[in-house]
Parts: sequence; structure tokens; C-alpha cells
Amino acid sequence: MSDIIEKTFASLPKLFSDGLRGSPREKNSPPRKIILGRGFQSFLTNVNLCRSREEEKTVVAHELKQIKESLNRTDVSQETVCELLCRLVYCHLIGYDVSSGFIHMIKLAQQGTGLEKRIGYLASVLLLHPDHELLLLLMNTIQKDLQSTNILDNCVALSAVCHLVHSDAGLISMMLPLVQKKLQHPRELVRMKAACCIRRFIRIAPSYQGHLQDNIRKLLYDKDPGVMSIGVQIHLQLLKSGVQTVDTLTSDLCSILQQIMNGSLPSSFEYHGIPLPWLQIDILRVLAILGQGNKQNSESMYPLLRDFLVKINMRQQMAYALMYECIVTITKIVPHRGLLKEASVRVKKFVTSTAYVLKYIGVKALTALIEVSPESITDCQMTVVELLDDPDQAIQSKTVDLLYSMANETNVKVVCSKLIERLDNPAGNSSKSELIDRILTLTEKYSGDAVWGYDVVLLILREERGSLPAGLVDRVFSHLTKYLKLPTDKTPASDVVQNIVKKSVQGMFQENCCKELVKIASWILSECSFLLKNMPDDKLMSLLQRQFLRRSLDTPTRLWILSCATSLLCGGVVKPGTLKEALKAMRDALTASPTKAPDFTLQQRLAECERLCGSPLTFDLNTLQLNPHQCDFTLSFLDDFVCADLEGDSKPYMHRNWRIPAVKDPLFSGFGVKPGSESITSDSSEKLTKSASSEPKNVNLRLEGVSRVWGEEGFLLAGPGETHDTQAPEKQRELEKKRELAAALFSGIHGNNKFDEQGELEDPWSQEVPLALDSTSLDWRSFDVKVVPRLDNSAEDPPSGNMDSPSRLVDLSELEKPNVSVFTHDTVVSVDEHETGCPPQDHQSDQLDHQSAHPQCMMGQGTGGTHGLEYHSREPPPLGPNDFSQDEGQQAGNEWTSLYEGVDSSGQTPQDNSSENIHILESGAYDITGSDTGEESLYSQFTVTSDNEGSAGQTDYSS
Amino acid sequence: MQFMLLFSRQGKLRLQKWYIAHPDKLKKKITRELVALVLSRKPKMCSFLEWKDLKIVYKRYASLYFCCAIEAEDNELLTLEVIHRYVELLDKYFGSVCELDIIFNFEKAYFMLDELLLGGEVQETSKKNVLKAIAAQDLLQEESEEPKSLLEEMGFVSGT
Repeated sequence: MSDIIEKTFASLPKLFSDGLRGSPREKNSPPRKIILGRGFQSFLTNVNLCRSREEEKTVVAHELKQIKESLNRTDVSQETVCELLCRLVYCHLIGYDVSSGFIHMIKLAQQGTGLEKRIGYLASVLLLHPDHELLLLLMNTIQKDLQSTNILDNCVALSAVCHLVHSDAGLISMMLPLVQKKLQHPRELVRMKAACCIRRFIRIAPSYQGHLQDNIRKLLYDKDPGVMSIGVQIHLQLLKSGVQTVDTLTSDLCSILQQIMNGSLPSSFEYHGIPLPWLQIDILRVLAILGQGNKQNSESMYPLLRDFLVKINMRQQMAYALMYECIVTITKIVPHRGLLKEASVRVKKFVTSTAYVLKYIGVKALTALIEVSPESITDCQMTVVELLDDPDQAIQSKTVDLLYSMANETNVKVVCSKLIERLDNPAGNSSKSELIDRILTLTEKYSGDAVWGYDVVLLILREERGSLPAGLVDRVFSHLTKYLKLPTDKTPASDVVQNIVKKSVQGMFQENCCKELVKIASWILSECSFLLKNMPDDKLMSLLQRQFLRRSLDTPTRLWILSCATSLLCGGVVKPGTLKEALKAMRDALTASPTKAPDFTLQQRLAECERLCGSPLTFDLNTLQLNPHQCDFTLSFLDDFVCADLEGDSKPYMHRNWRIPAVKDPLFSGFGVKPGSESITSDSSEKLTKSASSEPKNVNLRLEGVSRVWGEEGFLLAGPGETHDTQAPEKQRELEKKRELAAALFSGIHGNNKFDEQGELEDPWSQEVPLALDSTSLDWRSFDVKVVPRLDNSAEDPPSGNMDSPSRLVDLSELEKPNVSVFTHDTVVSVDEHETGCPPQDHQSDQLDHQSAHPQCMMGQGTGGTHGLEYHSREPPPLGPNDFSQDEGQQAGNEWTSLYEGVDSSGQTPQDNSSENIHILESGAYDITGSDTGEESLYSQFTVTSDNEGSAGQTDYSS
Repeated sequence: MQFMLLFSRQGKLRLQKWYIAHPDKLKKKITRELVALVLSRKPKMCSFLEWKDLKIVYKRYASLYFCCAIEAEDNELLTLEVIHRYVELLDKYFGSVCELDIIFNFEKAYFMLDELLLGGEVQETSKKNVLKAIAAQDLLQEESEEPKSLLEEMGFVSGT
């Protein structure tokens, strides 16, 4: 009955679509094997025909019921079960509950053979959560299949193990012996899958490596490149968790990488002409860990890495991935100036690329690079400034990372202001907490200006935010404690503290600030209550009262406010009467507000405060009078100590005035004192110099707005204000602004003047230190010698950023730089684009020669210099000459469109010459049917390799 | 890699492979959010996204989006190449692959993916070897199937 219905349904769409477009792909589609019968297809068709979610639900529910019924029948064949399970998987994919079929999947995996078994496994792996109880049944099957003599059964079981092991250590120990046995299997495919399982085990439970050391070592020297690459990955995993099993790992991996680069591994492992890129990247990652902080290891890598950078063929997308990984490795190992410079040249190409993907990677690479060599960024300042305003969120956020890592003493304020700007950006909500955390870290790290740091905090907390990092308030407190010192000594409070208090009061005026701000401000006010003496107490109290009565504040914050009021009272800043009035108002408001339950904590605290107002305990350090009868002013109790000390070799106490004058001439000591402050003590000599050096009437001048021309050390250089007056005309303001920003951002990063002096049009890729460094004459020392004089040069040059003066002065000197680099960027880029657009003829023939000589030399020849970094993005293939528009009405047609046409040549860019295509076809054209001759030949694809290398294969990798 | 999703331009899921254990509910939620996020991206933007603590790498091939979630320290460009390799493999196997091939033969697509990636990491980087492994599996199933199925002749009307 149901069969008849299915058939009718199935024929409907056929009639329908045939009438419209005929069958779109009846020709030139190769014969393919379809497992699933009509039932499955008609089911899919029905589901896809549904117009609404409800309709789909009824169709699927009906289907699920049918599937369940037929699965439960006893006479159902395995083929049918296969098909029914596929329907279940599809139902699961579109979001329905299919738990009724679970047991049948496991049964099929157990009882089926060949394909049925695979389908059973596939469905189990896809549908069952690894903690599902039914999986225990599957484990039995897996164990049986692992012991089977059938290779395919082994493979499918190993895959299942890999997928199902998630956290269960018991499962690992159950499977481990069987998997270990498979590591010795003669077939590469089985060995590889077993190695994958081991990799997975170690990733989940690194402690197992103790049992596996022998196996792991052997994997690294396996004669099959595929198995070996997984061995390398396992070592990478181990190194990440801090274990090194092989002592000679560095030299071994270096020699493997060298062999790959020389093209001595089988060509079937090439990816678009690049041999074993995945393995190369894994080796680079391992090297990065091995070389980290290890000078000896790093030195053995330098020539190889250099060779790598030079030889890489930059016309494949994969090459960019390799290049990026190499740059990251260079930044991780013990730094080498020459390599870093090479890397920075390449990073610049990435960053200035027109492709977004490469820009993103470039910014990432630059972030890594800047940590080891800050000067490398001077080259791409303007690009970075432009990237900040990039429309793409992803790139923006990466640029923010970059900004964070390039912050230093000089530019930290500009960086922070940029980060705060980013904070107000409505998009990218998820990372705001992290961003705030970073800003705070910056203000703590470069804490030269405490007031500014506090300003930043206030700015962040200006409005209520949902996502604040945990412990923010405590961090701010512990940071501020350094500056807020109680006036136990007679020195007056510094400007810093005065400013901080002033800003706190201002902050309290804001009605919609964060509760964290209220906490911090009330803490500061209570700590520095002595500075608030001049403030009218009723105003202060009404300020606190208003904050207290804000609805959005929670109890802890209100308690903070109350304790602030208490300490103001104790400090004598607020009169008891004023406070009492305010407290009364607060209490009234609390009781009057229609909250559900009265807050007893607050009420208790309010009562305490009121009681305190009744009998104020004023405690003022300045007016504190001690009872003279209780004090021993002669300090007679110390006599014993003093005598004992004097009998030793200690010198007797000498009054300050009698001591030998310090380095500074006392004559000028008064200059540092700010006029107008009351710190002129009764010291007579100071008074003398004061009156002698300046007119008496000048003492009271207000000098706030006047710039200082004379300083302690002499004449101060021109201030920043003057240059801002001589600004460029109006039209250039935009660019000017960006340059200013760049100058401010990049101040303090001492640029290498070398770059700026170079001719603008010269391509840095081609004119680097000797490129013809062939693998036989690798001597990094000779290379190092070349770098050393350069270092000396730069030291002799008056470095522009080396002045210790405040930031503004540096800004001025650096203002010129961006101009130069802007133009170099522009010209270089345009030249590159031109050249990639139409490759010169001679270059083409050159390549042809190379091609015919040796297919492997692709790797060696392209330095990529003449071809700018242009990511030839593999756009979806053209939809055919007169194919469908992007019209929604033609979706059906679009689905028929070939997803991907001409894959073999797809990696090739349009301007690639034909010879390259031929090369790819030669190495990459496989004939599936040709290799289908039988199971035996299938897994012996490396017989050629192993024959060639024979027993030498083993030593080959290790030597 | 944490998971791989294939979905159409209309936001319909075509394939999902998870290398981490999440309950179904969470998987559905993640899928929904990601599909919406990726579909809202403009074509001129870069193929990488930061999403929660993961990085999303996506690429569109004709009407299908391939979308992978990787850890922070992974190489995004490399993931793009893994996607590309997968498409190449599908293309080689199905002739000229289209979305419908993947819908109707999704088990093949899964088998292929299992040969390429195992446990979330690249297993076999040689195209030839993957295809050989798949061909070996196909040999075992030849007899029971009808040689050419309805799919070849049948036109298919999309549901949206």
C-alpha cells in the first residue's frame, strides 16, 4: 500500500520538472552507485515540497511512524533497514527526534556486512551522543571488528573509536590494546587510522603517553608519509602538554622538512603542487615549540626557516598558510634579527593585500611579530590606521588585538582611547568584557599617569554595562592604593590625589553610571575625606543621597555609600546635623518605596549612622592633641639601643642642615616647587632664594594656561601647541587626522630608519639579502655577519624615537614618517597589481623551461616578488555562460548547477600559464576506475615508494 | 576542528559533523545561530569570524556554504584549504558535484569526510589515497543496487 503511494509521489516531481527543463544532467554524468532506493528519494522530495513547517511536521511524523513499523517487522531485509536508517538520519538532520531507531542502527552495525555495517556505524556515530547507554552494545561490535581480518572492518571500527571517545577514560583503556596492535598492521590505511586514534586518546587524556612512548616514536619514523605526518601531530600534541619523547626531534624534523622542500617525497601527496603542506605546517608548529627559549635548537632552525621563506612559491593559496605558519614560528623561537626582518617584509605584503582573507591573516601575523620586534610595524602604520575603520567586524577586532599588543609607554593613551571607542561600538557585544579587561590591564601596566588611568576607568563605567570583567572594582582599588596615601606625614596631598578626588565627585554627578563607579567613587571619597573640607557639606550629602536613592543600585553599593557618609562624618567634613537630615530622607524613601520586602541590612546600617550622628567621634589627625603627660618626648627608652649602636660603627645622627649638600645645588632647589602652593616652609634659606630669584608679586600669579618655557634643566623645546597651529589646509584634514593618529599610535616604537631611506619603487622582496641561498651551503653565520653592520648603523644614526622627552616631542619627529610610507605603499601596490594583471612574456617562457626540466622546481622558483600578494580567491565556479541569475525564483535550477567545476585547474589563476595546468594534470589526474582493480592493489599505492627507498626509507627520515 | 556544517543559501542544513560531544539541543542552537550569522555576511568580507571562543571559517561554493569551527590557535587559511580539499574530493567522486548529490548521497559525503578528517583533525592529505579508500568500499556494494537510479532522470524542485 505504502509502496504504491510512494511511487505516485515519486513520479509527480519528475513529470513536473521534465516539463519545465528536461533532465538537467543526463549526459556526461559518470555512472555512480546509488545505495538508496526510491523510497528515500520520494521522501526527500516530499519533505522538500512542503510549503510550511507544519506541513513538513505532518509529513515527517507520518514517515517516522512508518519507518518505526517497518523496522520492527521481523522479515525486513538488511538493505531495507539501510534505507530506513538513512531516512532517520535525514529526519535527524532537519531536526526531529529519532530515538526510536537507535537500537536498529546498532543491530545493523553488528550483523551487517560491508556497506550495511558501514551505514550502521555511520548512523550510530551521527545520532548517538557519546554518553548514550546503548553505546555499550556498540563497543562489543567495535572490539569484534578490530579483531577481524577484514581491513575495511578494521578501518570502520577505528573510525568509530575515534569519534566515540570523548571523555571516557574507561573506554580508552578498553580500546587501547587493540588499537596498539593495529599500529603494527602491514597496511598503511589501517596504521594511519590507528595512529589517528592514538592522537585522539592523547588529546583527551595526555597521561596515556607513558604507555605509548614506543609506539609514538615508531610512528615518527614510519615509512609511509601519511602515517608519519600523524606521528608528527602526536608529537605536537605531546609538546603542547610539555612532554618530549624524542631527544633528536629538532634535527629529525628539520631533515624531514628539508626533504619535503627538496621534493623527495612521493608526488601523490602534493597539494596543488606543494608537497605535503599539512605536514610542513605541523613540523613548523613543532619547531616553534622546540625553539622557544632554546638557543641551540633555534640556531639549528635558522637556515632552514630562511630557506623556507625564500623558496616558497607564492602563487598558491596553500602557500599563504605555509608562509603565515613560518612567520609565526620565526616569532616564537629565539629571535634572529635577519629572519624577523624578512618576516616583516612579508607581513607587510599580507597587510596591504586587497584580499580580506589575507589582510586578516596579515594583522594576525603582525600581532605575533610585534611582540618580538616592535619596530616592524613602522612600515605599515597607515594601513593599520585604515584597518581600524574597516567595515568588516572580524578585521576590526583583529586590529584591536594588534593595538593592544603594540601599546607602550608613549602611545598607551592613544591606544586606550581607540579601545574605548571600540567599546562604544554597538556590534560585537560578546567580547566587551574582554576588551575592558584589556584596557584595565594597559592602565595598570603603564601607570605613569594615575589621573589618566582613573579617567579611563571612569570613562568605561560612565554608563551601565552588562558585561564587566569579574573583580573589576577590586582591581581598581588595589591599583589606586598606590597613589592614595593618608596624610600621616606633613606633606600636603599631591596633585594626583586632588585630581582623583575631584574626578570622583564629578563621577558621582552622573545619574546613569555603573554601580561599580559609585562604589569606587565612594571609596575614594571616604579614603580622602580630608580633601573635601572646602566643599559645602549639604551639597556633598545631597549628592550621596541622590545616588543612594537610585532604583538600579543594589544593596552592597548602597552600603558603600553609607560607609562613605560615615567616614565623612568622622573626618569632620560633614556636620552631624546635615547627615542626620540626609539619613532621614533616605530612610523615608526606603520605607515609602513599594518594594516587596524591607531591606534590613540597609535599615540597620542607617540606624547605626544615625546613632553615630548623635555622638560624633571626630578624629582629625591635624588637630589631634596628645596628652603630654603620657608621652616621653626625650625618647629615653631608646637610649640603650642608641648606645649599643654607637659603640658599633654607626655614625651619630646629624641634622639635615648640617649634612654635606647633595648633588643638587640648594640654590635652585626652590624651582621645583610650584608657585602658589603653600609648601614654602619656614626654612630660611629657601625663602632667601625664592625672593632673590623671582619678584615677590609673581608668587601669586596664576599660571595654569601659560605654557612653561623654562624648566629645571633649561629651555624646554617647542611645545605641541605650536605645531598644531601651523596645520595643513582644510581639505587635507582627513588625511592629516589619520596621520596624526598614526604618529601618536606608533610613537615609542623605534623605527628602523633603513626602511625609509630605501628607494620607494624597489621591491623589498627581490632586493633582500642573498636569495640564492641553496640548501647545500647553509651557513647562518655568514648570513649573520651581514646583519651585524646594519645593527651598528642604526645605532649610530640619531634614532628619532630615542628621546626620553614626553610623548608630544616624539610625535613631532615621527610626523614625517607616515608621509613617506604612505607613498611607498601606494606605488608598490599599484605596480604589483599591474604586473599580476598581465604577466610578462619572458617570465612565462622562463617558467616553461623550469617546468620541463623538473616539475618540482615550482617550489624553488617563485619568490613571489613580482607577483604581489593577491589572493586569487576561489570564487564559486562560474555558473555557466547563460546560467541562472541570482534570482530566488530559480533556486531549483541553481541547485543543479555544478558546485564545483574543473577542480583540477581551479587553484590556477586565470593568468597562470598553460604549462602549469599541464603539470597539475600530470600529477593530479587520477583514474578511479583504473585503480579499482581489487582490494590488494588498493592499499599498495606506496609500493613504488617503498620499493624505491626500500629499507633506506627508515633511515631516510631520521638521518 | 570542532564541527563542520554544510548548508544551503536558504539556510537549510545539508550535512553536519560534530567532533565534540554536545547534546542535540545545543547543537541545534549553535547551528541556527551560525547559519544566520554566516548568511548575513556580505560577499566582500573575509571568510573568518570570531564567535564566542571559537573561530568560524566559511566558504561558499555555488549554492552551498561550508562552515567549520576551529580553535583559537588553529590556522584559518589551512582550514579553508581543508574545505577546498573536501570539495575537490566530492567533485572527483561525483563527477561534477552539486547540492543534490550531497542531499541524496549524504552517506557518501559522510564516508568521504571520514576519510579526510578523523576526530576533527586531518587524517589523509593525499587525494589519491582517499579516493582509493572510498573506491574499495564501493566495490563491496555493487551487486545489490540498481545501476542507475531515478535521481539521474528526476528533476527536483526545491522546497522553498
